Amino acid sequence: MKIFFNEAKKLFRPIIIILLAVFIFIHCKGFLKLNYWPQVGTGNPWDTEVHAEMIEKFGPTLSRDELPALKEFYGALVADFEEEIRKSEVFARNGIDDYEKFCEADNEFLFKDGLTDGEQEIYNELIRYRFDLMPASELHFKLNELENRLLNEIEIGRIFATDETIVTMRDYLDRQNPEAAALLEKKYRADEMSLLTITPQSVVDGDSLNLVIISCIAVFAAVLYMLITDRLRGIYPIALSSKTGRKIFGIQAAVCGLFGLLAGIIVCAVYGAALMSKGAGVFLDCPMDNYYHDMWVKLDYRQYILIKAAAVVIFTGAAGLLSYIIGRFATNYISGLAVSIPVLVALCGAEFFATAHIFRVESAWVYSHFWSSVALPFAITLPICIGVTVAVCLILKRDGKRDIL
Amino acid sequence: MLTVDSVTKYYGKKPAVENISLSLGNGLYGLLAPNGAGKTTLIKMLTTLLKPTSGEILYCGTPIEKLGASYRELIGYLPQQFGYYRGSTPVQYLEYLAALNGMPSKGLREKIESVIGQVGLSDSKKIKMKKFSGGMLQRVGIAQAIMSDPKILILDEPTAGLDPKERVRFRNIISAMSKDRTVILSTHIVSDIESIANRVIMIKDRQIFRDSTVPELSAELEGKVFEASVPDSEYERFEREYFVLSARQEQGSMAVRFYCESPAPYRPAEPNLEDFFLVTYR
Repeated sequence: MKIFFNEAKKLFRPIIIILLAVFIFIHCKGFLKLNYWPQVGTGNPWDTEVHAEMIEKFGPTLSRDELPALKEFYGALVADFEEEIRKSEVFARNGIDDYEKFCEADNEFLFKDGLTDGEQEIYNELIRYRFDLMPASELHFKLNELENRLLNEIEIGRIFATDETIVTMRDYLDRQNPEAAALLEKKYRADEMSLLTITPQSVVDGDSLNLVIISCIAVFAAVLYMLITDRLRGIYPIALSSKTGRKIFGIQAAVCGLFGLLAGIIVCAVYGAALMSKGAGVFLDCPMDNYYHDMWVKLDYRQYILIKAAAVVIFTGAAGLLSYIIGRFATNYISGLAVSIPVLVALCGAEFFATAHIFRVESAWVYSHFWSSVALPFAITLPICIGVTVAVCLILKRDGKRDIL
Repeated sequence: MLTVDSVTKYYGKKPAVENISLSLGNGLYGLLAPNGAGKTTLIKMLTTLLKPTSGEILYCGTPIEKLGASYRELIGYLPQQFGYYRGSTPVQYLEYLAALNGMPSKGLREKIESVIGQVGLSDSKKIKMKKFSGGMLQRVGIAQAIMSDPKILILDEPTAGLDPKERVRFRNIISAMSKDRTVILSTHIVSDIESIANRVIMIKDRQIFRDSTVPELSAELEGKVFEASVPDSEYERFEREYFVLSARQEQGSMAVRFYCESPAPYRPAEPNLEDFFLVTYR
């Protein structure tokens, strides 16, 4: 135990842990935005908010029965917006006093060339109402979000399809293979849909890769520094010629793996706290399988985040073992760095591939069938993890058969 | 009894030591050779850090490879490059190595205090080793090697960095220890072993060149070492003619000690181990 604690003490230094947590916190503070790209269309602060408001009103899912209530919700927003429209003297002079006329003017002038002075005045007011950070633009963005993401989709039959609306989609469905067409139709006809907007998921998707990269770099740096420093300081000859000192390599491997896991847990915990503090908590109960994403397993947002976090933690654990392997053979800092950089790039590239596909089946429906029995992220993360664990075991076994130094 | 039986070690295709055979009982063995001769390779094989390419090393008739941990338990080893944790005190470091050696915790603190006292570090036992001088660190290295009362004590260049007083203290410690155990002291500094070694093992051209006592080795140069006072003006010519073992500047001349195969018209001198070393590796 004393050997284990001595090795752990070298790696689990409070300063390393604190630095890692602070770095992630700063990263989240600077880059984590729930109302940001890739929220379709605008990148405004209210797209996610309107979904949050709906979740408060309807719960994590919207059912077919709640359609009238949704329209009522939408109607209330329209009424509020019309009140704002009527505050404008420009709109009043030009007879724009309701949402319908506002939209007509929007369509007419927004992309028109060669505006007259009067038209230019309306155009400027439209722009002000759309994009200035004021109550009117907030309402306008929320209306847009509801229309684009829900109401239009309902109208064409991609959500809550009826026998009549599914006809609109018939051509599209017929172009799919029969299996995909059947899945799509089932999805369109479903009586319930998730109110999870795309941003919280996309943010977690993108950031899980960032977290892997950051924690892998931290793990590699700490582990290689420890192992190469021990080697350069000549720690090993005495240890390895002692009675039980040969255990040191196995203990170091375990400590490096544990350090990787701990780094992953810290990174995910800090990130999770930041994510919740920015408002993602409202989506936790929403199912992941919604009108723009298809998941081959039924998960809610909370489970999705936890699985992503587990993948990050397992991956950083594997990174701990991998850095141990490099550290065992690197004779100096330069060689350690030279090997680590391409390994890290390959490692993060593999994780990028996994992240891009995690649980998600994009447009190619055939994958839904193909991957339905395989968890893609773990299909990459776990082989890496198992591979490095086996490699570490082989190296430790080899120690008994060849020169140990 | 430690037996080295026809041991050869290659690094790739390059031989480091070839066909080495030795029998080492209790006593102090000086392993003497210039740098790069293969001393450290031999020592690393004795400490199980390297495996012989051929031949084997036996302890009491059993290959040390088979004995494994039970053989390593018997070893005290001070490597050429003594590794330590900069942030540890000598006591913390020795406690850690005691754990590696599987030493019982009962009486450990007293044991550590005792060896620290033996190497003269009692006043510095609570100071972090990063503040230690080279000589103090070397003393910690010696302390860790002797801490477990090893049956086989292997010291690779142990006196590097020690001042003359420390050297004498160190010699006395290991000389006393060699009564009932095997002590192998590898060095290229002749004076370290001349007065204390029971046997001197010399390696030349990767093989054992001599395995003898100090008087036997010195006797081999009987009648071949001379002393002379050579005028400064003639010294250059003299140096070309004879193998000078040492030279000291005196007023207008050089007091020279030199080696000559055949009888020379100079004052004969008592040969010593250093003369033998210099002549062997000239």
